[in-house]
Amino acid sequence: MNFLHGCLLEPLALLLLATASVAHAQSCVAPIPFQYEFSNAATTSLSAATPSDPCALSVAMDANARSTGAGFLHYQGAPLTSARYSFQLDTSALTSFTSPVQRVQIFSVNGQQTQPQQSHLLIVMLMGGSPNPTLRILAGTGTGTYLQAFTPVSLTQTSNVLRFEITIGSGTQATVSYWINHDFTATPDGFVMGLENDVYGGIVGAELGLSSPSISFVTAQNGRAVVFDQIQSSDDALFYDDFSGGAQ
Amino acid sequence: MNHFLFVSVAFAVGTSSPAFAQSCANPIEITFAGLLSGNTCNSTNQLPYLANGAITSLDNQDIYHLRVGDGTGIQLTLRPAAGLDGTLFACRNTCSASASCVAAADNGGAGAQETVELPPGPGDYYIVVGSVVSDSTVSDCGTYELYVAAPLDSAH
Repeated sequence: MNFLHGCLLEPLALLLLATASVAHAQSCVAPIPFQYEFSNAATTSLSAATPSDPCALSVAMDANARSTGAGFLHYQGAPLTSARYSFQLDTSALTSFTSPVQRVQIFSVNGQQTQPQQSHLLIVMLMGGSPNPTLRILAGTGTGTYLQAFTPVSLTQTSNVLRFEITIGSGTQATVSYWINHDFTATPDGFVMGLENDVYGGIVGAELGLSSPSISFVTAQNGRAVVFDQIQSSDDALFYDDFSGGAQ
Repeated sequence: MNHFLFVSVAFAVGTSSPAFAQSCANPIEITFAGLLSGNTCNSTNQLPYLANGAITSLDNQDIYHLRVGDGTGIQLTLRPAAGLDGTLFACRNTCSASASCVAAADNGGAGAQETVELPPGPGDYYIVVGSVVSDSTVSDCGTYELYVAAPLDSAH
């Protein structure tokens, strides 16, 4: 008998297998809705000041990290037509992080469908800048080249609260907005409108952490951690009634 | 028992991949432990992002499909040709840019072997063979061998 086909896969078994990979070792509460951790060629940890606090994610690339070097949290859920995410990004441990050739992906949101090759509704890259880092933000458009870049965002400090809102829509109804150190109730610091992102089939997941580092980033910043704290999302209907702010 | 049965023993012939481009829609099925060979120059970039969209992968890719009753002890080893800087991913359930990957390997340079292990338990995996694109001193595509090794006691 073929060893690879020795057992039939049952949905329950798959569910149990997926659940088994949830990071339970930490002494803090995993930030909802993120459930799973991926780490390769990186030093990744979850910790909190007290056991009941949500975890902060700390990721530092190893010196030997290459294209698959990564440390991030992720989840997948039922499709949503809108979602908000916020987190505090602390890059204060990085040194000489002034060149844009030092870059690393820090956040992305995925749709249900691949159109045609990528499923991103949002990608956020961190790049070196002076005096502080720069963000490169791209939104999934559903048409044309499928990714539209915002004007690069120069951060004003090394610790910032980033907020993102994605709405799904047909025709030109969809928007992607961001806020830097401002609440969701404020006017967005940037947004793109007229997106046709319903072709992605709704928001089904996100990943937060470091991934896809440039060689320059690994060479200059290996061993130096980027910290993601105060992680929140509106994709948590089972746990919260509303989501309008978040700690600065 | 956890002995490994390498491919070269299990399959002497018939394990080379066909010349057509493998894709998500038409992956090569891995049904036995053994040796496969391929050439990513016959393929295209099909998944520019992998691992929940976290890892950018703009290279030519060959796609394999593997279903296991228990992944314990199953290893996949990529041996790229000299000059090819190979990458290897094992991603669960769906062949998609947003699929979750259980393992990703790019630990060596051009010609270096890359290995991933499957986790215990049943699983449905897409195995993506690619390469690093960004260094003009290495090839963007090329030939490779993919070894699938499994514990002897998995055969029943």
